[in-house]
Amino acid sequence: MSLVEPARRILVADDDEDVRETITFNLQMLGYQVTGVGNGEDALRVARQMVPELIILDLMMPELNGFEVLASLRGHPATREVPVVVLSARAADADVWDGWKAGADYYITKPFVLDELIHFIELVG
Amino acid sequence: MKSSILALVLCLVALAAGLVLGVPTAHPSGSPGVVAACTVAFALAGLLSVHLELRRNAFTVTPGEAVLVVGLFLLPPAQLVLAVAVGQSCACLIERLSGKAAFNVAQSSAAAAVAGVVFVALGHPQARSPWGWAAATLAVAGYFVVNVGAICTAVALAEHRPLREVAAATALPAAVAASASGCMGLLVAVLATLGPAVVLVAPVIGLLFVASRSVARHRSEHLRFRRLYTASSRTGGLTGLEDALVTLADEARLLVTGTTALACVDRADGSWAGVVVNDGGHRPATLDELRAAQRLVPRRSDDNDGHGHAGAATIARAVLPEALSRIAAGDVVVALSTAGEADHVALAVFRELDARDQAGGQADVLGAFARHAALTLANARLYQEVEEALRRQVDLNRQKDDFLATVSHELRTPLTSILGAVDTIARFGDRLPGERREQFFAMAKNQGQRLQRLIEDLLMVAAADAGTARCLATETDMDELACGLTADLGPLSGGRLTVELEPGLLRTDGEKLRRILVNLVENAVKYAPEGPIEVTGRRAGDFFELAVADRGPGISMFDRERIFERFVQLDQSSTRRQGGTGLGLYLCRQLVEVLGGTISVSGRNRGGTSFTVRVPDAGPQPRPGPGAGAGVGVGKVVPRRMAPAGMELG
Repeated sequence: MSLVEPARRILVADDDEDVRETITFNLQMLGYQVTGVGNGEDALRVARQMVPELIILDLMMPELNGFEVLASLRGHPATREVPVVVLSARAADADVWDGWKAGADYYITKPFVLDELIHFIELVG
Repeated sequence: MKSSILALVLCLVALAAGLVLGVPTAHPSGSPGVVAACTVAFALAGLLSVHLELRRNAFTVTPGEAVLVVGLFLLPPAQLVLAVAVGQSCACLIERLSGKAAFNVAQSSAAAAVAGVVFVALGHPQARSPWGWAAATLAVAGYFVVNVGAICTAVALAEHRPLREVAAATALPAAVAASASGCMGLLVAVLATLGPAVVLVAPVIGLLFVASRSVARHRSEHLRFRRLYTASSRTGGLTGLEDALVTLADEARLLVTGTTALACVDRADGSWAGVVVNDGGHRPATLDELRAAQRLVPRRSDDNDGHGHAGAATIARAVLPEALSRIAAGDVVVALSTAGEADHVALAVFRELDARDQAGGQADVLGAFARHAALTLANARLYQEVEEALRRQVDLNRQKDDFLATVSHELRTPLTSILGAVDTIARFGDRLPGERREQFFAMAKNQGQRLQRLIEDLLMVAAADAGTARCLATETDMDELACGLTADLGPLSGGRLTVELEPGLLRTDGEKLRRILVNLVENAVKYAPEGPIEVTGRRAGDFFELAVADRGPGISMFDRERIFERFVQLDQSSTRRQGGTGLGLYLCRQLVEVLGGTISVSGRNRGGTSFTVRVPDAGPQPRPGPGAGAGVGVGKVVPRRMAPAGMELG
C-alpha cells in the first residue's frame, strides 16, 4: 500500500461473537474502521447514526432479524444506498434468493472464506 | 301416555258426554238393529283404512265420514256416539293399538257428538232434500274440525311444536280425505233413499273401495321403493362422517314419511355418534339417545339380515321414548345394520301420531336403507382415516425438512468460527500478536468441541431411533459426576449452577447419564436466563432420583408432553437467542429409556420447571466366573505376561 487511504467505516452485525471478532480483527489489520453490534436493533440504530460505507449483516439475530434490518435500511433515505453483504449460515438456494430479494448486494454463506469477503469489500470501495 | 294427552282425552270425553246428555233430542231412537249395523260399519271403517302418502305427509283415510253421514240420518246423537265409540274400540282392539286406542275412541266420540248435535240443531232433515245434504255437510265439517283439532293438539303437545305449525301441515290433506269420504257417505245416504236398489249398488261400492285401497297400497309401495333408490343414490358419495349421518337421517325420514329421524353409528374407538334430524334442522344426539340406540344393537345378533321388524320396533318403542321424550313416539320404524364386523348403524324414524305402520313393509324398506347406510358410513369413516394419515405424513415430512434446515445451520455455525480462526492465523502468521494467536486458537478449539458434541448428539439420536444404543453399565461415581458438571457447565450458566449429588456409586451408563444432565442444564440455561439452576440427586430404593430445576418462565401443561418429541422447540422464532436442534429433550428421553429409567417434567410451586430423572441402580458388578459374561470376559482374569505362550485370553 503506497497511499494511506482514509479508514473506511464498516459495520459488522452478527450475534456470534467469534464471527464479529474474526472479521473485526481482519478488517482492522487492513486499515478499516470497524464497529461491531450483536443484535438487529443496535444494527439499525448504529447504521443510522454513523452511516457506514459497508454493512456486513447476519440474518439470524435477536431483537430484529437480518431481513427486517435490511428492509428498514432500504426504506430509510440515509441508508438506502449503503452496500450490504449478507453473511449467513442459511445456505439453501431459497435462502440466498430471499436475501437478494430483500435488497442485499452480496450473499456469502457461512462458513466463509475471508478472502472472498475481503475481495468484495475492496471491490465496493 | 303423557299427562297432557291424558288431559286432552278426558276433555274430549267430557265434551262428548256433555253434548250428548245436554242437548235434548226429539228424534226417535233407532232400532237396536240399526245401532248394531252402524257400530259394525264404524268398526269396518276403522279397519278399512287407505294409506296415502303425499310427499312427506302420510295419513290414513278412513271412510269414517261416510259412515257418519249415513248414521246422522238414521240415529240420534246419543246412539250415534255410542255406535262410534264401540265401533272404534273394536277397530282399535283388532288392530292392537293399545296406547292410542283411548285417544282414538275419545276423539271420534267427541267428533261424532259435535256432528250429531249440529245435525240436530239444523233440524235433523231427511236425506232426500238438499237441505238435508247441506246439514249433513255442515255436520261432517264439524266432525272434521273436532277430529283434526284433537289430533293436531295431541301432536303439538307430544312434540312441543306450535299448534299452528302442526295444523298447517296436516289440515289440507286431511280436509281432502274428509271431503272425499263425506261425499261418498252422502252418495250412499241418497242412494239408500232410492229404495232397495241400493242393496245391489252397495257391494259395487264396497268392491270399488277395496280395489282403490289395494291400488293405493301398491302405489305407496312402488313409491317407497323408488324413494329407496333415490335415497341410496343421493347418499352414495358422502365422505364426511357428520354430513353422511345428517343426510342419511334425512333420507330415512323422507323414505318412511317420518317427522324425526335418529341415525347413530359406532366409531372406531367404541363410542357412538349420532344425529337427530327433523323439520327444524339437525342436532347431535344426546348421550341418553345414543345409549338407547346402543342397547338396540346387540339384539341384531338374533337377526341375520339386520333389518328391524316387529321385535325391534317394539323394543324401540319401549327403549327409545325414555330418551327421546321430545319426539312423538306415536309410531317408530327401526332398522339396524352392520358393514362387516364393525360399523353398527341404527336408524329410527318417528312418524305422526295417526299414521299407522303397514305390517312391516316400511320396516323392510328402512332395513334395506340401513344396510346401504352402514356401507356409506364405513366408507365415510375410511375416507376420514386416510385423510388423517395423509395429513400426518405431510406434517412429518415438513418436520423433517425443517429439521434438515436447522441441522445444516447448526453445523455450519461452529465451522465458521473454526475456519475463520484458522484462516486468520494462517494469513497473518508471525505478524499476529501472541495474545491474538491464543485467542484464535482457543476459538477454534472451543468451537471444534462444540461441533463434536453436536455430531455426537446427532449420531446418538440416529442410534436411538434405529434402536442400536446400549447401556454400558459402569460404576459411576456421583462425586466425580458432580465435579465434572460444575466444571464444564458452571461458566456457561454464569455461576448460577449448583450440583448436589448424594455421594456413592451408581451402576449405570455414566457417559449417557452425564449427557442427560448436560442437556437438561443447557436447556435450563437457555430458557431460564435468570435465577438459580439446581441439580440434585439422591438414592430412592433401587433407583437414583435426579432433578434439574430452574426458576424460569415454566412450561405450560399443554407443552409438557410435546417438548420430548423430536424437532420441537418451544421458541421457534428466528430471533431466538441461542441455537439448538430441538433434539435435546428427545435425546434425554431416549437415553433415559436406554438406561431403563424414566424422565418427567413438572412445574414448581413458586414458578419454574423441574425435570426428574429416575435411573435404576443395576446393582454390584457380578463376580467374573464361567459364563458370567458381564462384558469383562469369561474365565479367570490372568495378566497377559503370565499366560503361557499361545493361549488366548477372553
